[in-house]
Amino acid sequence: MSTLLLAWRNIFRNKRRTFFTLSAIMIGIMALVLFDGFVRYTLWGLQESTIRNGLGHLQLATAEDYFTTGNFDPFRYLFTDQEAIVNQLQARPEVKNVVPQVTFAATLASAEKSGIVMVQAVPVELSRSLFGFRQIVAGRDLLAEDRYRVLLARGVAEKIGAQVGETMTMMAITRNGGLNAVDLEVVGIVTLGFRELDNMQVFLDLPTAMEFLDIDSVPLLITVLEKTEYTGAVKAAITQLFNSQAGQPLVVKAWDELADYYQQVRGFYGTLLRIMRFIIMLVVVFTIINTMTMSVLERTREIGALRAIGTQKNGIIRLFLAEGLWIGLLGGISGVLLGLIVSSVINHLFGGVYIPPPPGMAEGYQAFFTPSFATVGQNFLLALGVAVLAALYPASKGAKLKIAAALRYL
Amino acid sequence: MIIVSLEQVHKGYKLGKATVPVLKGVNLQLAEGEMVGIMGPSGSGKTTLLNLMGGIDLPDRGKVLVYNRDLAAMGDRQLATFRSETLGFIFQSFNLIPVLTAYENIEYPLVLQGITKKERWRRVEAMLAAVGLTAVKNHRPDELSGGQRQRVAIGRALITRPKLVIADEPTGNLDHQTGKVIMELMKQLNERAKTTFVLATHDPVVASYTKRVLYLRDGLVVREEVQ
Repeated sequence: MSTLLLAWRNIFRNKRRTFFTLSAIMIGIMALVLFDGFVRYTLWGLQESTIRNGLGHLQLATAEDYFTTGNFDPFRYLFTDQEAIVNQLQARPEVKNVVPQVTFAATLASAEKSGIVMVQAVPVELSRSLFGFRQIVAGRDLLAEDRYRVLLARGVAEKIGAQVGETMTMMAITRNGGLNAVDLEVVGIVTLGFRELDNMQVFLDLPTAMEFLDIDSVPLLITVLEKTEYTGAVKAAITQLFNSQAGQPLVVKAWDELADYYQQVRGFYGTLLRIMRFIIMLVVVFTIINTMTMSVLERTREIGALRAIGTQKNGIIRLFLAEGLWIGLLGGISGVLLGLIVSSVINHLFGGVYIPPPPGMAEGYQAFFTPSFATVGQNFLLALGVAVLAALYPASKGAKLKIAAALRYL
Repeated sequence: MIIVSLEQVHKGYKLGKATVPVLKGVNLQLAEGEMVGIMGPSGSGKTTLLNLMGGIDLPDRGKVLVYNRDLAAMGDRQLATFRSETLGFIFQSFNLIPVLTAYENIEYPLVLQGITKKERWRRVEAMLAAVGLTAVKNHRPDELSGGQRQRVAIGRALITRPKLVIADEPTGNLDHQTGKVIMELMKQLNERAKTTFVLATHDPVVASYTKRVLYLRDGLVVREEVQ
């Protein structure tokens, strides 16, 4: 008759009470599993949309301050040996595409209105891999043979009242410091999902932009990898590679170093998750303390008898801790299972849950629950630990009972 | 040989702010192999006296020596070990562990002593036979009659082969006939194994099974009868 077996039988003495205690833990853990799953999916979605909205996985520039002020003076940062670098990057199996890009501020004017825009110019044939989340809302996408044609983000088009088929004038400073102007035909209007980007982005093919700016290389190389998981390893490898070579100094940045919004959202959800976890665990602690204190009270005489026939105080403590352990184990397992079942039902039977546009986003989205093995395990262990910890108080109360008084207890 | 010796033992209980004296200087001695009854009206201090002998309560003043060991000088841990190795307890309301079967209840004190499973099995089966419970050994207490439950309690008290068995109103919750059977059983065990029994009762029939009866009144031993 081990302590664990005795504890197991004890927790089923008052089946109804144990059921309610287990339900509280189960629902709490289920909520954590679901919320974890939701946050993970949402962050994954945000990560991929951030990467595929022009950020790529890795960005290479010739100086650190290109990433802060480069768009207003791209000419200071042009690569001198662009082709060699592209070839070296392209040689890595994890690399899907290397996209040369120039980004510059310009004024875009229609017949009546004008506005400041940020022009993104990449080779049209590579733009799909970099702007995978870009959606055409009117007109068409740029084609490889398109020159002097432009795509406007939705907010820009609304701001300056541009329509598909209209001709706009773009003005910007060129390499030699002069102001250049060119007429561009609007072929399509797109949305990027982020309101902030929709209000300022304009897309051009790279040859047109280079000709317009009078440059023969770009200031930024964007690397798109086969999988986001490769980011860290590839960054480390290419940083080492380029550092060991003579020539222009290079700075490599991973997407998450450049995605401020993503980092904010991640931090926000992380805090939310911690608060939620804390509150749920607090509820679990008090539920268990309540249940087990009642159990100690009901079993006062029995504890007295156990002590009288020679059970040590530690034996009583061990018994109640073991009961806490079983409750945590059962509650944790059932909570995790329920969480996984509910996730799966929502994902497969209901096709996810519609989430209205979060702050800063242009569109709502369909959320799925994709809890990770690690967080599920964490929540389970948390339930277990918290249950045993909560049992400590009633256990020590039980162990401290005076034997003679306990035996008299009615 | 004297195995229990109480010298000028005082014990009181706090009731609100006042202390109610229960034992007021009790002196008594028990010899090995005796079966001693303690009689007295309710509140005369019978249970308190047994608790002191069993080391589950300590005197306010005076000495309680069991096998020449001063129980007041022992720590909680030592006392628990002492109870487990030396004493057996039988309670009026049985105090069995409701989630354990008759077999497991009797086995429990042996588990505390760390005895091997095989040896436990051998001893528990023998004890079940001795107290006549082999047929219901897998029943839990709530599936047993009052008499059967007290047999389990007796089995549990004797399984460690204690030197002293302390029984507080062992037949108090049993009908007359069952009480007599239980007393016969205890008497047999006393005679066969030479185990010392001390039992509190206010039933003269129960007391008649003992060889010596101590009468307790107002916290003092007022009379002693040897049959």
